Amino acid sequence: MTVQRLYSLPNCSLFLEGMGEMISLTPTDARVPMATLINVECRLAGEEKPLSGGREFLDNLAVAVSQYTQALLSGLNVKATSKVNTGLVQLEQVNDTVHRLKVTPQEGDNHGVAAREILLNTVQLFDLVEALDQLLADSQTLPDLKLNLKPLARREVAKEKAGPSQVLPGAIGVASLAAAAVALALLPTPKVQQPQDLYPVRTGETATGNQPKASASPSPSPNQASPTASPSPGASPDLTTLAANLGNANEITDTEELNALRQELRTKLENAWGDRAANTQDLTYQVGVDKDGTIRGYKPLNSVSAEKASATPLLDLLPRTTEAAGAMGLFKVVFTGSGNVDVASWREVMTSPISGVTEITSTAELNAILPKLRSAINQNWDKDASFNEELIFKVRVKPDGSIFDYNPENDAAARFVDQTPLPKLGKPVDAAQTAPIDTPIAIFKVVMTPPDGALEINPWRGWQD
Amino acid sequence: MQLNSPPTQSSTPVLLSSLPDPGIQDQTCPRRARIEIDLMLLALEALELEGSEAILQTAKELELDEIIPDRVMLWRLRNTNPLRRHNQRRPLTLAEAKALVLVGCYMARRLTVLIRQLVLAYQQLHERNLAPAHHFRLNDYLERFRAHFRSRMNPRRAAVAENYSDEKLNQLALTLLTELLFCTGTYGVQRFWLSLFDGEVG
Repeated sequence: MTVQRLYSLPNCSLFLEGMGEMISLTPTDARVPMATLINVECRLAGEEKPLSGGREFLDNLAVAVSQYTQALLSGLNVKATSKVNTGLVQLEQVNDTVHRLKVTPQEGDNHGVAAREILLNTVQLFDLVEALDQLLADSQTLPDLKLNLKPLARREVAKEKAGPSQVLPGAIGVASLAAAAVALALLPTPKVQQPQDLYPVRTGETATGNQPKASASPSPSPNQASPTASPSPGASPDLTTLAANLGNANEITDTEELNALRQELRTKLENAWGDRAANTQDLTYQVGVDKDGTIRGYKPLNSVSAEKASATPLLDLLPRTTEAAGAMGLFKVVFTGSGNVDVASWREVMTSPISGVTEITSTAELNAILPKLRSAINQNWDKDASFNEELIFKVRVKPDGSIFDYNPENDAAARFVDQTPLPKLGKPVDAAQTAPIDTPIAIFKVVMTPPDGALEINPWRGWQD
Repeated sequence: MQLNSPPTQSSTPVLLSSLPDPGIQDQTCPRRARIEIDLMLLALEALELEGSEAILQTAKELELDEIIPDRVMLWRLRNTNPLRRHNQRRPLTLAEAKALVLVGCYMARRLTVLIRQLVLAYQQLHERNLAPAHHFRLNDYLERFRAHFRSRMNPRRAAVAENYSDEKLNQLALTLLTELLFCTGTYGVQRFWLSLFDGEVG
């Protein structure tokens, strides 16, 4: 009995005609397995006549396409991709986006295959790969035809790049990255020795009974450091040690890593903070977290926070041992009276010009200020702008919605600031300003997007929930 | 109060067995594989805002969160890429690599429509000899990719320095986009996975 199969994609359809397996278990079995192939037609978008042939053609097509795809993915120049078992079908790269599919019938062995050359773009090639892969994955059609992938062996990968027609220009980027990486691998890796004695070094401030010596001795006596260095095991870590931990550690400064640690810390604290209704005040701490995300130390930033530390989950989350931590990420953590946990990178808090300022961070207040800021900007702006890149500003806003100051955060913003209403509404950030600002300040990220000056305003530190 | 009870050491996630072992000698990833996996995820992050969040979310959906439990671990795994500024001198095991590849390909499949559109747009521009920057969404992708690449890769590495220009990075981003397209297919995961070990088996 004749069985037909169609695998159809936007740019390619594969139509198979063959003989079904004789033993059909039940007459109602909708899909009789196809055991032998009579003919296959491969229709490609833009081609009037389909490619067609028998089993040999299909096998060759499947292997050639598969190997070519793997070469495209690995970006490695493959020796003789098309020579092995793919006599009828070859593929080669024309340029970044065009691939040439060649069908060459072999002498005296014409299986009804006509010589053809078809140019495929990448999406068409993908559709061809996908149609074939769907066929391979279909266990009811030619079950002996399966995905047969193996990584290429070392000797199969060409050592040097061949002529331009065989090189995969699109993959040069990755290939050269890889090649250079291999070259770099040959260089010896310098051994980095982690200093062992990072902790504790600040003996003068915390050690008890430490008397300044009249004559500075180059080698401090060993027992000076011991009182804080080894707290009695089992005792809960005392505050001075924890605070000292912060001061002594190497600081992690990579923004990406800090960001990962920050989000981790926030989740951890959110999950662990049980009775938050009991807390009515903002409790603020500097918290140090090691590379694993474990809290290694904290320091209350005011007396209330010191007294009420037990109302926070910080103590629960500390490890029982106070072993020396390596590098630490430092964060400013606020357990707000309204039951939120706010975690910000310590460096960001300290280096942005907001120290000495009360920052507005609660969602409700930010929500109230945002529309005021938006309308202030919109009212003063005809949006007839000539910039063609996003402009990003950090804008500090007073509770009444008026702009305190602003700072361009990307190049375009600095160049085109004069075309925005910001200079009318506020002043640029004064780096030299040290006088405290007497009103609370909310910080927003203002993004103006060309072409029509769409305005996007968000809290600088994101919404709290 | 300890919320995170230690995870019971269950067997390796079933999904991992959908990827064959490549037949290399040790059970850790060769250099090129570590670079390629990280770059592929970088390209996905350039396609999708909040990409790293999506990576974690996807890992959870695929029940691979034992291997990729949180941001810190993800950061570490990705930093096994020797081109990173903060390269971790730890190996990337095959199981970890499989998990990253599965997550990446799964995300790519979800973004199939966008990826197809962008590859097509690039083709059309290329045919007319126009720069990719003419296409708004494609330009967006390229810009974000360049920014991600420059902020995370170590320019002191020759391999990074050589590819630092806008043009070179665009080229790399477009190559990765094509790779992502092929990752979306029926056997996309298997194809991408095994391509990582081309030229590595004896």
